[in-house]
Amino acid sequence: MKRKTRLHQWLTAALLGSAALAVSLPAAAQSDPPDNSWMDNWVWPDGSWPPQDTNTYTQTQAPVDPTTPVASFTAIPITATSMPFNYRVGSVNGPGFGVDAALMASYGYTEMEFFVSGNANTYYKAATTGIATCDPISYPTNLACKTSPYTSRILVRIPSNPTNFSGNVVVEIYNGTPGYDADVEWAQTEQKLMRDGDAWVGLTNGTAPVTVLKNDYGAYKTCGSSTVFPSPAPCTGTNNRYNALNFTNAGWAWDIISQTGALIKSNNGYVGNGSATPLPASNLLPGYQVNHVFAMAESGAAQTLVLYINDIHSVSRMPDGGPIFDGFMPDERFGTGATIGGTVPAGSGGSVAAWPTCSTRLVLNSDVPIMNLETQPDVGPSSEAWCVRRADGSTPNVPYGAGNMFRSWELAGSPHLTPLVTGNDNSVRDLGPATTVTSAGLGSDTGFEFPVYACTHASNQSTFPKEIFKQASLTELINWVEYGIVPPASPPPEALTNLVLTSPTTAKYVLDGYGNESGGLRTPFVDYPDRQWFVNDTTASTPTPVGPLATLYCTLYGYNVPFTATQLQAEFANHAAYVKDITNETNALVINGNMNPWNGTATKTDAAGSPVPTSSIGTNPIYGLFLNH
Amino acid sequence: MLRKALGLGALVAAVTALTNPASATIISSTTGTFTGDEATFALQFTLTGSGPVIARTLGYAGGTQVDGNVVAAGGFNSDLALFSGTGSSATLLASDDDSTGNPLPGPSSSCGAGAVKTDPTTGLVGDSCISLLLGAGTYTLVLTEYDNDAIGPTLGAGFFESIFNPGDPTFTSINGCSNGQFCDAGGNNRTDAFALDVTVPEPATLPILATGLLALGLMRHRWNA
Repeated sequence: MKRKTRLHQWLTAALLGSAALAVSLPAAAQSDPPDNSWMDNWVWPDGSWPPQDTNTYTQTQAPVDPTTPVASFTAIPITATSMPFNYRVGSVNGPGFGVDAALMASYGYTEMEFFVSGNANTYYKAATTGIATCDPISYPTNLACKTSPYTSRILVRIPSNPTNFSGNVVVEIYNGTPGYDADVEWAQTEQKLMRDGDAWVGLTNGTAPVTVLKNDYGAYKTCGSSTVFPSPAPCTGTNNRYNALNFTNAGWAWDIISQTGALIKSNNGYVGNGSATPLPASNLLPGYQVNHVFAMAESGAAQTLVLYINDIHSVSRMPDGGPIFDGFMPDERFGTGATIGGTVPAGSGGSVAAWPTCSTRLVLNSDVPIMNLETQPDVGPSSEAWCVRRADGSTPNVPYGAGNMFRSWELAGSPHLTPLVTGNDNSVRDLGPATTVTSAGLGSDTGFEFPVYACTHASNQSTFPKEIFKQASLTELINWVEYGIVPPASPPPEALTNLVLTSPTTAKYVLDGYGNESGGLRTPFVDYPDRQWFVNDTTASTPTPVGPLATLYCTLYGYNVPFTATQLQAEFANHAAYVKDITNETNALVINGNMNPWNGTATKTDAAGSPVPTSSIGTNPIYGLFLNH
Repeated sequence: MLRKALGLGALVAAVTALTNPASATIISSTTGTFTGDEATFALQFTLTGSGPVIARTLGYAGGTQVDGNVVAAGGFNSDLALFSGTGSSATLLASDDDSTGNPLPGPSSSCGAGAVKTDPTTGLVGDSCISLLLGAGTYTLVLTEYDNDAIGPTLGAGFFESIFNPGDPTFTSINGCSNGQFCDAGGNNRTDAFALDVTVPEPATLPILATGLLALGLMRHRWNA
């Protein structure tokens, strides 16, 4: 079993270090990383820690569901002419997607795809009069409620050789904002996942993406030639890779998450709390011993995940009452919260209630650790920070119900969306060529309609490397679960007004002398900047925006304004001084656990190759580490 | 592996406490070479009374050591870390890079700007200096190449590059010098040489100075070789 964790790095390093100095390492020193409290100097100007709310986030510990079913599965064959949506190692149109095919090959990763099926409940609020039979609050364990057959799909990326598998499976709830399954978390964390031998599972979890898979992607895959996006006319009907999908009620999403998670955790025989009964005999992934299962999601999908954490996780359990998911990472949440959704069965007397906006996004305490990475605008003045931010906690779940394990890093300078995410999105390849998109929509074909838009500062789009910190966040979450290593805390951004539980309209953040956000998770990119980071852009009038998301996307992108040589030379005495500033803070972040070592090396290499401060980094500056992600 | 690592390179160490004509008590005046970027040089010494101690490197910009040895400029960019005690549990007292109090792990007790020279060729500072009032006890001073800095809080926690980038004797190559090793932060080629003075500047303030100097030698960390 492959293990490359920070703890192991520390242990190995400590042992090697002791050997180097011809001394022995006391056993007591092996369990703890170094005290890096010297790093915690990023408090507010008066020396105080930024305000934290004092609320408690008690989760109702409802009775567990001892009968949470395990989803059944059916492999979807991958052939030369029929490949999965989001397939990265190969393509009927070429060798694979972007750099991923080479990366995945170099790490020995493969992909598999499965239908997952079962019977789902429709969760909803009980009517004020009468008791709904399947109200999950009143009847969380009622199997009779799980009556709606569903079929969704999972895409698995995993080491080809099971001996290289870490035992950790990270389930990404696909982001469905663009209308299709977007594996945005994979795009940002693939280096960490593949370096450590973790498995990734993408779960289709919405009705709209299923429609796209059945109507748009299926037509393309089963009827097209190898190079030309086909007319969809002859491609509808049963010749569809995803024709078996059955996901017509958004309210099934919660049981689909639970039952798919239980299926994965049951792989090779999950034996919880000493149970002697491995489940099930037939394995989803033969030869792979699954130890821990995590769930992560970004943006809108993260809001879904938060609702799952708050309201479903505690009642959908493994047979021994243990958690299906051992840790969560709901990243970059903002906007309106998720609702329970779905269509209430006729005659039930219940209703799909819009849950209180704030509570759907405020993560409640849980029995498992939760890591949360937020970009600057996610908790900025334009959003309801008070529904995103909550206090950290590190209390283990002993006794049961006492758990409060939560860490949030707010990333100063980072926009919500970067070209790494969208540039690493193969949907254009899978749903239609970009050349067919015109200002009026798609051209001759009538496949999926991508929005048409251009951002005002497209030539200087922000390439803030937020993926670095997402990878570290995931590493910390897994180390927290596996070894009990509590991740480092980071103060929230410096604010002129208290953002905690106050009106969001009053939120104003402090900018530093470079025009970048003060406070938050400090990084070399804002502490020793070569540019000013703007975290929102606007949509240009040309071409005429088309599509409901055309104006949204630019507000999610940021842009940067490079400093002039004069500005840079006022900031740094010479190139070596610049490199040392970047290096010292980078090393501190690596030591603290806010950055993985490989990204530290990339950051330092990028600084060494920079022209700073001799000349400006020029227009459209991007980081080398970004290019090489 | 460790047996092979020990004793590589040349080491000249003054092992006794001497009082030089410049009225400084010499704990050590040493020169040597590193076999790779990840090498370290460790020095143990024992004080039987309290007093100020200055540890200074001269390999980068050159100069004359306290024992009169003239050191040519051109060596690698060196950093220092001083620990109280010996072995893995030794506690980090101070770190320094360039004698400027750069934000390295542990308290900074640099000698301040101007305490080390500027290299006439590169125009950069690459030597380090720690000045600290020490009590009686045994100490470990470790000289490394930038940025293989002590992590702290203990010696057992190791040094940055040795821990997070193990087995790479060319980690400074990212700075882009043509030698691919012993590159400074400005991308200049440097040599494998270092020079180190450890002194008590005012002998009168140190009632007793023990001579328990132990040079642990030059160690080449090739853990994965």
